[in-house]
Amino acid sequence: MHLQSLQLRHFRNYNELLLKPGTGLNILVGENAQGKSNVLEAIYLLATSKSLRASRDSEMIQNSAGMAAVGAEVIREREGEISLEMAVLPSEKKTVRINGMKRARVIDLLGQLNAVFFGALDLGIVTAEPSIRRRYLNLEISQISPKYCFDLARFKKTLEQRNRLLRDLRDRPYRDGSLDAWNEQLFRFGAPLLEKRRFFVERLSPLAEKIHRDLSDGRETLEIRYLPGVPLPEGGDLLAIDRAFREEIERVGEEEIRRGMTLVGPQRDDLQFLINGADARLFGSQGQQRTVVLSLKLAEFRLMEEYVGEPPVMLLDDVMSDLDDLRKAHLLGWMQRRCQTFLTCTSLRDFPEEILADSHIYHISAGTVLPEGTHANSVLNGS
Amino acid sequence: MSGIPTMLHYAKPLARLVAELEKLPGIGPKSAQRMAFYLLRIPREEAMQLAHAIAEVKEKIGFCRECFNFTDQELCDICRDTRRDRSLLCVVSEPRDLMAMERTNEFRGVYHVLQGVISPQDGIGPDVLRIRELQARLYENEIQEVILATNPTIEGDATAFYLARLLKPLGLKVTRIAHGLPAGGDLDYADQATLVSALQWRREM
Ligand SMILES: Nc1ncnc2c1ncn2[C@@H]1O[C@H](COP(=O)(O)OP(=O)(O)OP(=O)(O)O)[C@@H](O)[C@H]1O
Ligand SMILES: [Mg+2]
Ligand SMILES: [Zn+2]
Repeated sequence: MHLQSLQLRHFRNYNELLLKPGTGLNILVGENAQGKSNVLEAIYLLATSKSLRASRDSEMIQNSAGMAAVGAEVIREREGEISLEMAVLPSEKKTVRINGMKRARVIDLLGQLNAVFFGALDLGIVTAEPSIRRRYLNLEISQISPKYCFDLARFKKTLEQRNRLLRDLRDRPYRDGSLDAWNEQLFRFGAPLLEKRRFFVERLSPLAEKIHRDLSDGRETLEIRYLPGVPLPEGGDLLAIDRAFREEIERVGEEEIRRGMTLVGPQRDDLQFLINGADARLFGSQGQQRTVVLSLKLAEFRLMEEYVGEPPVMLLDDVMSDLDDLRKAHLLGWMQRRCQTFLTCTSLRDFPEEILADSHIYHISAGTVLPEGTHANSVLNGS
Repeated sequence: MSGIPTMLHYAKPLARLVAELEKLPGIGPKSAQRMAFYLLRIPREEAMQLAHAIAEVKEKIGFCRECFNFTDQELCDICRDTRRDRSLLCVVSEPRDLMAMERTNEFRGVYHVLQGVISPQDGIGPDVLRIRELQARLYENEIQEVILATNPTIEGDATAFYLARLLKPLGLKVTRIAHGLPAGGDLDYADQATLVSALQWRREM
């Protein structure tokens, strides 16, 4: 799939932008703080409905403007052309239009455009705390399963309610029998999260292993392990997971009331990256950790491709400079495959001539695209 | 917040009116001022009509002794209506959900209004709701089926689950309206076709 056009209005430092990207490699080049990553953020927003970095969605609205809008014409192999539009309002509300039709729910956007993002901060998936890894799982699985996104939102809400109830039960131990009702909601929305996450990691791990072996010249075996917040039986379907979750909640029930919080469940999930059996977070060198993230992102691309039946859009934010020559070459070779890529960088020096000749190059400066570069004609800069 | 400093200069009764209006749901300081000035401008009789209407609801409207719907009598119109099917009881969380059900003209049973849903974060447990009253009704009357029609939100679902656990041992048929309703939405916003089908596809719990 690919973007035929991308349109920004009052988004970050863009007043108005219309981009007609190529179907292969699109290089966004420019100095720091000019708006390169903002373009990737806009594309990712259409894919996931979530901002890459804003803690509040209204941060994406251009200073003093009323609202931000991002739109794209997406071409999919089977469905043909789809137009997507998202508006972000100062009230933090987001609205979505698909083919011009306003949708009641933002999550209707999921599954329309698939994108894999890889940026410098993604190193945190290996090195940072477990919540970053759960966030990673949530963003990726949501893209291929809107139901996951729905379950997740309800699970979080249930968890807040249940934790509050447990706190109340701790402080005034009067039982009104309503905990069972919240348990039921917890299993109903939590068990599918456990199932989908395990499924996702089980498929991702062998793909990442193969890629990582190539990237490390056959020296390293990577294994991605899912560490569920509920001990799960080997194999087993949703029903078995649900049962395991119930047994575990039953087991910790009294302690949960004593501590006033939920102690087991997908909110305790984690991932582990093992290089030749050793945890990369604890024992990996920085270079190894970077390679793990690259393997992970490329594996994710493959998985998504398999899942949706065509390659997703690749978004690479400032990652070339962090990679050594071997990985750089691998990544560049990889990009020459048939997928649309948006890549940001501050200089074109890392790219061989034959790759540049094949690319669309956009020079970004202070929220405008300068119509010079190799393919100046393909750049239409709005007012 | 630009209205606040000038308000200090209002005559006391006017300031009081603005302050009262501001307490209404969805009314901010600006709208409150606009409404207060409007009320000052209109003829005295019109303003008194509003004042009376407010006084009257507070005086006359209470809860139905049977189902806890709003009513100006001891029993509401529905509970008094002898043509309603008393073997079928529909449990809703708010009077506005009852009204939504009524607008469909499909439901011929009677209601019970819980006056809320279970929500620990809002300090609402089962004992705050009209659940004891519901149990009493079930012991005393000829009810055969209870339809749980709380909203399909997590709080509405948790409440329905709680009730199902509580009521099933009484040997009643307990059903839940189907989830054809917009997820996360409110019953009173749903269109009638959705509500009719939700009623039709209710399932046992
Ligand atoms: N809501 C907003 N309104 C206006 N400008 C904004 C807004 N949010 C961010 N910016 C501006 O966008 C610019 C940053 O854009 P972006 O992150 O895309 O930079 P970049 O080109 O990727 O830079 P780098 O090479 O440093 O990563 C900054 O100048 C910032 O002030
Ligand atoms: Mg950047
Ligand atoms: Zn009544």
